[in-house]
Amino acid sequence: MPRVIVDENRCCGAGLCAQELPDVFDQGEDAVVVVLEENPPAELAERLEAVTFACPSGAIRLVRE
Amino acid sequence: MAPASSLPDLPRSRTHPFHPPPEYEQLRKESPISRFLWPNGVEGWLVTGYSEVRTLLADPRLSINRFNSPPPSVSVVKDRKPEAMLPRSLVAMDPPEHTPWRRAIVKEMTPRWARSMEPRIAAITHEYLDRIREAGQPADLVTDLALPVPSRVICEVLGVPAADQAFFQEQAEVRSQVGAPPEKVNAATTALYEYLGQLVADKRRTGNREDVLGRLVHAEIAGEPAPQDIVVGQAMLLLIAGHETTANMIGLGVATLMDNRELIADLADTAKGTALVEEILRMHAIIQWGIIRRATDDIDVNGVRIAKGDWVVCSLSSANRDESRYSCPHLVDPGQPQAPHLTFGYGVHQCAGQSLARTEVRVVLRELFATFPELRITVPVEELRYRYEMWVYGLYECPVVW
Repeated sequence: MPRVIVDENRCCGAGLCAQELPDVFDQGEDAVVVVLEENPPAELAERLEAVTFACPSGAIRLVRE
Repeated sequence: MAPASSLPDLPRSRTHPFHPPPEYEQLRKESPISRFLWPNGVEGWLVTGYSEVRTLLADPRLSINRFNSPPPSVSVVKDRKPEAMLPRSLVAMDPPEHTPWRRAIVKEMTPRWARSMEPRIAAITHEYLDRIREAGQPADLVTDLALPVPSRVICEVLGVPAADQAFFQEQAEVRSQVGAPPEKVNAATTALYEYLGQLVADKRRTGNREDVLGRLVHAEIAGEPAPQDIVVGQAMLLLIAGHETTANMIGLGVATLMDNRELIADLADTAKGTALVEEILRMHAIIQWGIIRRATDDIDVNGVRIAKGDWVVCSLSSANRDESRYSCPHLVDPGQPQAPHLTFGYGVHQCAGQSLARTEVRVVLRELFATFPELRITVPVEELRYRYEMWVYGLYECPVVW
């Protein structure tokens, strides 16, 4: 499973990730993305890809090790 | 006088009120980034493909900054001063100036907060539905529901007295006309600016932090107190963008559902209703002439060289109909695989109020059809009056019976 990495400086606070996958992402101070689960379960793979694609600022990366 | 352009004219005639100009289909297939001459005599790139629009709107070399020469425009009004359109706000700022302002605003409008607003939006909707029932048939859904509900909601959120709704709706309407003479646009802008300036000054004086404008005027932006004139600019953006766009989407949503009545039942279920609203949003990218950027450097994209200083107009309505992304691009089909539509734009300027807008459209449509299940528009949808002459597309009126 991929590891979730976010770039807080790029984040523009749309919150689409936290809305779609609230167990993986949250919005912290100033609506900036917070990762709650860096290694999400395999069954979320497809939705993680979708959220990463939808992110308007390109702040989410999925890293496969 | 500038030499005559050899470029073709921008295609801009619709053949159906729900669909963008038919020429866009060929453009998407053959040349999704191509140069045209806009009606005001300015040349620019029109971007029509889904992936091209996304790529360019995410490119930091394209600036949204207030432009010092007239951008390509469908308005042929002489002496139109684009810089007079709005005081400085999010839509005139690039990063890094944009970033702290964006954060101060979007933290007030998260998806979680929008969900928490659902009961209040439903209650406001019912106030207007009750009035519609009392006044009897027929009703005009634009003036009686689609316009006042988002307008009331944004008033409450921002902390603008609801009693002044009619005033700012009128000014916003003038500013939305493609053909409005510049002196009228400037007068409307000045009236709004003075009104909001007073309101914001009062909130600062009284220490009011109970609403978005109150918190914004007391905020620190990049370590400095928020300058009041920019707070007023942001207030104007939020007030106008916060009601006009949503109002038009609600009207177009009702018209769309007339031809797709079997989908109305989806509104009762939150997940299905959400998917249906996404399809309505995809069908109707109401910023009908696209969004404008200017290249601050040479950009090579898909074999095309966009030169420094070139204008770039991204057609959201065309991107949303890209055949390579959607199996039924011109039909409302909540079951088709959902590539995220671009109605709210893309990149760091994506609509700050998108979560509120989604919730409002879904709740208003849901409560409307729950209250009047037999509701129908009194004329065929093709015969309604559409806002071809406005920056924000939609319906001028929507006569209904139930």
